[in-house]
Amino acid sequence: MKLKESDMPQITDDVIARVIELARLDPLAPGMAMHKHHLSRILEHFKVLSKVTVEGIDPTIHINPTPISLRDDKVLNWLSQEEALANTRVRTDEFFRAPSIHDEGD
Amino acid sequence: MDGLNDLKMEKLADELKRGALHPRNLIQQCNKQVDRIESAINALNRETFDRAVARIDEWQYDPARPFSGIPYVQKDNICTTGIATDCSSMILQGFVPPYAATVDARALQAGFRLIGKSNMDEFSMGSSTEYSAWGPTMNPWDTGRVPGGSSGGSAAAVASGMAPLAFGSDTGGSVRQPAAFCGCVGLRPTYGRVSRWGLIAFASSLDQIGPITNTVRDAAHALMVIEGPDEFDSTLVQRPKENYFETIENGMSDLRVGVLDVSFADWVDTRVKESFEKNVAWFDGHAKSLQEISIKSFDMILAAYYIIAPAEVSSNLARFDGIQYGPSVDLKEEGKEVDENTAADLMDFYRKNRGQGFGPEVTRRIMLGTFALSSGYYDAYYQRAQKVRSRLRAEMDKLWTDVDVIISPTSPTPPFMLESATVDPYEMYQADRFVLMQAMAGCPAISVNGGWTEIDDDGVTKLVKSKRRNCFGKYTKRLPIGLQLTTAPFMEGNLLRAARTFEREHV
Repeated sequence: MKLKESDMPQITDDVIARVIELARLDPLAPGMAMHKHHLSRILEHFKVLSKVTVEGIDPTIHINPTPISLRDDKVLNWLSQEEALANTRVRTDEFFRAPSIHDEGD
Repeated sequence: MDGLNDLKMEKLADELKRGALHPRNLIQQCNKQVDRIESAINALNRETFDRAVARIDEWQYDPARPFSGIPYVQKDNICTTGIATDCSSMILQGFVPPYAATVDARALQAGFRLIGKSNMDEFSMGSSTEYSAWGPTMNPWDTGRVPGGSSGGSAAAVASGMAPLAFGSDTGGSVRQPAAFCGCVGLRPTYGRVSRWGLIAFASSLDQIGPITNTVRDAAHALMVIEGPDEFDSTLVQRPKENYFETIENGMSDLRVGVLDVSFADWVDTRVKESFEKNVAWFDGHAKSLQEISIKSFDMILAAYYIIAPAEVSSNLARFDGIQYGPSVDLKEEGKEVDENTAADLMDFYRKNRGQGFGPEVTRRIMLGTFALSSGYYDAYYQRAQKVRSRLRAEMDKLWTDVDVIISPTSPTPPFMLESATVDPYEMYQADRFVLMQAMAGCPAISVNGGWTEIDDDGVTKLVKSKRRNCFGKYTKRLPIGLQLTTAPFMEGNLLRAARTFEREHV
């Protein structure tokens, strides 16, 4: 089924704000206003997708028709705790350290 | 080593075998070349010459490992044990992988010596290597121009004589387009032929690792080193290694060639069209048959790709939050004020680390992908793009019953000027128009040099017959134009044979 270009969703400031929130990006980061402008312009071009007939076509799930191969489910000697923690900037003893997910009143 | 494009793996391996060259001297030569030109090219994020010469005095020629001792460069999104791998991104600055990518492990097992990690567009998102947190890479043929991207550092390293081999990753042309811009050979294998284990993911359904070299034969050798079964990549098609040298010199008189018609396209530079027409005429005399082809979905591919790839980006890059690796803002201490370098809570920690850690193009694609996957837009964009992908794959599967090889330009333009395409991202995306269909359909493709064009102060002027063999110090104003060959999935034998036949008479 073809869509009309006018059927393609419009990009509003509210939509952009929701996207920034979902993507865990910083709305106050430099260049965010420019990204909004570029995103609108890019999506305007991508309305070309509405012109293509895709009726009866399944979306691609995997590009190769061969089944996914899984390795044996067995325990391997993998990273030590120290190796896993080696790249973090903030740690407490043998743990990653991150802000609390609880409010102070919890 | 007396000039650009003179470092060839096969030639060097022969010298090593004969004892005419020792790896120590070879690596020293590469080190000197890096010292001489790296400040003008910025191809490498870091050098690893100290590691490359470790225990070099114990080296002995081993016929089972004919490339042992030969230097190579690894793209900075491919994990190397104990060597920083940061994807040219602030958010991964200082990340040192505790393990090696399968591709890197196989290169080391084959005896190659790693001399550096190459610059790239941040997380491979870009077509010019200008979107690097560590500054752009320059084209060795004209340092005012881009080397292509995202594997621009790898291509520039090979083109400028730093190493005969560099690996890149190709999500939507990131091996082939920089190879074309730098006058090298760039091979994208079939999706599922080469393990992606240890490749820091951009778009998992599209990413493939491939070699950049100075000859087609070297690309075939490199592919034979890195391909093959690997239990750590579940999307790998478990096939044994192939020997491409059984047929690579057999010519292409049995191959049917399809020519992608570009004459209509006003977005293709006239010098590229002219070069391509000459290439087509050559194939007319060497292939079994030649026929013009068109791909009905062609005009939809760019939009579909730039929905699907960013959608995967928004998922794959969700894990970069400053907790497990990379720089991060400080946690708020009791009684202290929150500022831009301090997080008030967990969400603030995520936002600030990601806001400060990601560059502009990565941020843009995360936003684009998040939008395409979000409620209310999924069907109109992401789902529709995946249907376009299915349609393209079906169309190409049908095409392979009529032709064996498709030829097209690699890029619509010769290498463009630095900063000329970063103002408008959509302009940059258009540089990918010939290299996306292979990624979307999972086909292998190779870019070889298809011609040279002369430039003057006003830009590109006219085609010239051949390159002048020169090193960077003897600069000549000529720019390479790439020719791309594509085959059906897992038909790299035909692909390399056709490319080698073309190369034999043109380089």
